[in-house]
Amino acid sequence: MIKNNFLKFIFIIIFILIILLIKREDLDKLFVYFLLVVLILYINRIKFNKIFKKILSIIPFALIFSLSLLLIGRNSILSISFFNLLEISMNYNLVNFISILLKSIISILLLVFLIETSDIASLIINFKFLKFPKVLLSTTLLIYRYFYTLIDEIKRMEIARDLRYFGGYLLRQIKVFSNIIGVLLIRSIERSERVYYAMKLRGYDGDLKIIQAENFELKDFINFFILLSIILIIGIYL
Amino acid sequence: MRKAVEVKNLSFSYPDGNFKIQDINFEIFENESVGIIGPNGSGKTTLILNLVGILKGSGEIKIFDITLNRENLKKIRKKLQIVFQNPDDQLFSITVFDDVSFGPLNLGLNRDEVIKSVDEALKEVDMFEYKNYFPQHLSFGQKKKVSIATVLSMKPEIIIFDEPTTGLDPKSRKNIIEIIKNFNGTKVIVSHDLDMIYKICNRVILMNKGKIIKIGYKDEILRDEEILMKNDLEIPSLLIK
Repeated sequence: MIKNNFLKFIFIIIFILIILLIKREDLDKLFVYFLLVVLILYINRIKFNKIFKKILSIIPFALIFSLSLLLIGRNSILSISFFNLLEISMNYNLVNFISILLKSIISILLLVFLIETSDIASLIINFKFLKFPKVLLSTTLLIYRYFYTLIDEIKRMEIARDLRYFGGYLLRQIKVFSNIIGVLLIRSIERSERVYYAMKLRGYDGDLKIIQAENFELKDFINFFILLSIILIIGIYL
Repeated sequence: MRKAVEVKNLSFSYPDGNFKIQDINFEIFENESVGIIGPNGSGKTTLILNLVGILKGSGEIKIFDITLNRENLKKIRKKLQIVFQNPDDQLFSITVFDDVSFGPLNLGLNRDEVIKSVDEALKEVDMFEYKNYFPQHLSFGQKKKVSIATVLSMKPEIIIFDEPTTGLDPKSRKNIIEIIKNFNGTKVIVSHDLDMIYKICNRVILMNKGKIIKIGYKDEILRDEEILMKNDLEIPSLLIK
């Protein structure tokens, strides 16, 4: 498998683009791509529950869009060929629905593979390469870094509350909870100010500079081209 | 002797007018170790934030004869760095390596130079093996050490340590004191830990209510019970017989 994060990232971008370019009636190709992605996930030992959770959080959106296609669209009949062995006539809207759903699932699986096998810093470097806005990338990195600090802060405040608070009416509970949120917000603003000072002092000018610590290995290039060839062959000749 | 820091008639007040420092004048010489002491809210942190141009007051500040102004900010920050009190403010990256390399990268060093300076800084604070750790997973003492490394990697000539021993256990405190002692340059230590100030510094600046109360050699100030008591401080425990 491709270990180099940059090559992996490029491979996934190309793969997703190819998936998007596949014609709606080529359901057989999408099915083969789906199996290929499942195989990639299996080889990389990505746990099923992680995949399932991520699919579950995004699939509803894909379903809403694809279900709407079932209702509004052409009512024509398409002839769908499966590996040139079997030909089935299907409703145009149904083909659209299946195709979009499959494309969404494959794309999500590919992203799960990317997230589970790369660290955040290398993802940021790769997005930087694709000229994503610097502010967006810096913010993402800082959110990731300070998310855990924020959770710790919430836990400490919760303990402080629980030690002195013994329940009460709903209105009182809401008041206590709002106070906590308010204090948390003020603390976050103060901390962000101090972090900004520390960044400015060390020369931060809006561009987050990170060193790509990993090296490119020949093995990674070979794996990259093999995988790329496989997806292209499926796309062109199947 | 060369002046490392020169402050003349510095005054600063926050926009809400709640707090100000007034008429601050002092000099720190090259390779000197100076302690800035004073009770909570005496203006120590406000003063050091002015020294690096984060807060902008009136008066004149010179770092190695370079006047602090907008044009010279980069030059000054190459020479003068701060290690903040809370290491979580200083460590904002995903790995220890990214944090320590942040300064050198912004200084424009090339990849090999950055890696070299990061390795050296982490070895100096005995944290080299934690290079790829997520800072959040380190103990408070380890975070403190790494936050010092983030500054050491930039090779500044002056380092200001803001409350470097606060919240540390005795062993970590001892380690941090050793690291500060080993830094070959001008040291400014802002702290309530007067034992540490006595061990490391040769001169002391005593502040209260935004003003400098006294500047003098450590024995002159840290043995003066009256002046310390008046300013809500105590004689260092190592000086009590």
